[in-house]
Order: sequence, then structure tokens, then C-alpha cells
Amino acid sequence: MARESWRSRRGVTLVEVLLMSFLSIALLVVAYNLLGRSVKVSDASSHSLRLQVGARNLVQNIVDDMGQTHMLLPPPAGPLENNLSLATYLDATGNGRLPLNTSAAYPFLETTGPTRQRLDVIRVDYVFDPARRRVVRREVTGILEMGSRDNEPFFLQDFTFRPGSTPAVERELATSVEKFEITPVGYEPGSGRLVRAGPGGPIGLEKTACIALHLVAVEDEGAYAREPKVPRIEILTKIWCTKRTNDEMYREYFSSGDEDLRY
Amino acid sequence: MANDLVRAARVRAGFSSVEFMMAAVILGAALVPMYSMFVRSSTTITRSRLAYTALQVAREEIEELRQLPFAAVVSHDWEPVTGHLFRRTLPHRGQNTSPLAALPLNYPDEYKRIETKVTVAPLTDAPSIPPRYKEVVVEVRYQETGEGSERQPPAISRFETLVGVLNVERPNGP
Repeated sequence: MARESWRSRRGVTLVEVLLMSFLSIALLVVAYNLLGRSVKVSDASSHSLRLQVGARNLVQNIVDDMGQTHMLLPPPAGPLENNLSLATYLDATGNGRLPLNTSAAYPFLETTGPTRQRLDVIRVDYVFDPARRRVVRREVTGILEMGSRDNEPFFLQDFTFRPGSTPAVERELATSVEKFEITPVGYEPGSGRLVRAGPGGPIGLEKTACIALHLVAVEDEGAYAREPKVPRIEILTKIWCTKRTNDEMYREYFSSGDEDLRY
Repeated sequence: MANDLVRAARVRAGFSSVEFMMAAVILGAALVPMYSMFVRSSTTITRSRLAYTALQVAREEIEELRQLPFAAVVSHDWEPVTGHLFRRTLPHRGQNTSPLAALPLNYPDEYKRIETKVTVAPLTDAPSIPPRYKEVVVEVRYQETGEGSERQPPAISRFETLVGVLNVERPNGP
């Protein structure tokens, strides 16, 4: 009796084979789908993280640089709206700033001749390359020459940057950048009204007190070219220049070394 | 008896369908946590992005308060971050005449998830002395998940700073 029961239990029936095949296929399909989705989620996460790191790098560098900026300069190349150039002090502790009352006893008041001042600075350029979709930070040390005009001897209104002999240092900060827009804004002398600064505006670029930064980074290439939802980060922020806001709020105390030489 | 046992062992080589189903269930149970790990990392990265945006909003608020006229540094309750980028400054810096108000500088829609609150308290040594400093507390909260009625309790960050002023007359310049 036992021998007969062993003989009947050898092998599998057709029903068992079909059932196990069905279960195997169902399990493989589920596992494949899960794996595919996991890979997709992981890939999107890594792209999103890369965009975030780039945006943070870029914004933090601009915030730090604006905090120790003496003035904005015209960008060496490219439109003003997509590039940012700053003349910053040598370091964050204020080394290199012109100390108060550096000039000899008011020679400009006596001679009303032209006045020239020179300041050691670091020129920092944020350059947007739309073809490669990246923003690069470039810095070079040099001298900022400030001079007065014949008809207004007390005010420094002409600014020229002369690079030094040290080669420029360049670093890529953000990639997959779709938009990098800069809007310089400053205080209108006399009224204190906030207006746009730069060519065509009521005040020059050198009086910029704040920039509005609009940054958009999108991963929409390669596998994401036809995806409805892509990794993306958008930042719209304003970054104030410490020196210019102090000049506006406390003009009588921070004007020495500034363009107003009457103090 | 011994031969019977050996034969039984040979016949029982392989596995039954029940054993196969149990193995499949265990495999499925192992796959689900792996998938949820990937989803959780994606959620964390999204939260990190929102947190960073909220941090930038807080920095903006503090920097802006420092350049406003002293009397204009006042408290306000929770407000979403919407509208024009310079909506707080322009009322004190030429709202009706500044061309800045016409520039397309409106906060993106995602910023609606972020709200700010400012609490200002003047610091004064004596009641007869006008305050020269104000203590400012900037609070930022942001909605991490959910929309409408499904909104979850927001995450909150708090920053404190001092704003000072010296009341002096200013000369005109070029």
C-alpha cells in the first residue's frame, strides 16, 4: 500500500504545472514592473538632487558675493539680463575696503580738479552659457579705478576695472539651467525710490543695491525629453548688496570711499 | 523499512506547488520594502527642495527688513508668498511711481506653499527715549504634502534678527 502511494506521487500533474507557470509569470511581471518603477524613481531622484545642488551652489555663491560687493560692473560679454559682474572686496572680513577719510585734507575742495581713487578688488563674473545650459563663476583680481568728471568734481562716476596678472579662476556651478535672469535694482538719489539700474534706466549699474534672480533648472533631455513630469527647480529671489543698503540707510557714515566725496 | 524511507526521499525530490507559492510570497514581501525605499528617497529630496526654498524666503525677508525705513518695520501675520517680488518694499519706495512694479517679477506658483510671519518688538532703555532698535522674529512655514482639505500640518522654521536705525537727515547727491 505504501509502495503504491509513492508511485502515484511521482511527477506533477498538468494542472499543477499550469498553476505554477501562471504564478511564476504573474510574479515575474510584478517584479519587473516594480524594478522598472524603482529604477525610474531613483533616476529622477538623482537628477532632482543634482539640480538642487547646482541651484544651491549658485545662489549661495551669489549671496556671499553680494554681501561683500563694492559695486556691480558691466558684464564682459553677453547681455546684462543673463550675466552678473561684481567688484568685491578681497575677503569677507573687509580687508581691502577703503578706510574712512583716506584722502588728504579735501584736495578736491581746493583745486576742484579731477579725483581718482583705486581699490584692490576681485572681479566676479557669473556667466550663463545657454548653449551648454550652465552657469560658470569666474574670478580675477585687479584694480577698480574710480574717477570724477570735469563738471562734477566731488562725485566718482567713472569706473574701470583693470585685471591683474593672476590668471582667472573658473568654476561651473549649475548645469541644466534653462533660465538665469538678473534684474539690477537700486535707489534713486534724492527720492530713495526703488528703480531699475543699468543702461536705459534712471540710475547707473554702479548704484545697484539689489538684484532679482530668476533661476530655472530643468532636466528635460535624454530619457526625460518626452516625459510629462521632469525634475525641475525654480527660484525667484532678491539678494541685497550690504554696502549699498548701508549707503542708503546711513549715507553720512558710509560715504567715505564711496562716490560721494564730500564726507 | 529502511528501503521504504530511501525510496520516499527519492520520490520527494523537487517541490510542491504549496512550497512554490510560499517562496513567491516571501519574494514579494522582500521586493515591496525595496520599492518603498526608492519612493521614500524621492519624497525626501522633494522635501529638501521645499525646505531650501523656504530658507531663501526667510533670508529675503530679513534682508528686506534691514533696508526699509525704521517706521516701516512692522509686524504681520501669516501671509503666503505670492504676488510681486518687491511687494513689501515698493509701498515705501515709490509704489505708485516706480516702474519696477510693472516688471514681470511674480513669485512662482510653488511659493504659495510657503507662508511668512514677522513679529516686531521695539527695544528701548526708557519710555521717554525713542527706540533705536527693533527686535524682529521671522517665522516661515511651508506645506510639504497634500493639497486643499488633505493638507498636512506644515513644517516651521524660525529666525531672529535685530534691526537698528539712526534718525539723521540725508543730503542729496547726483
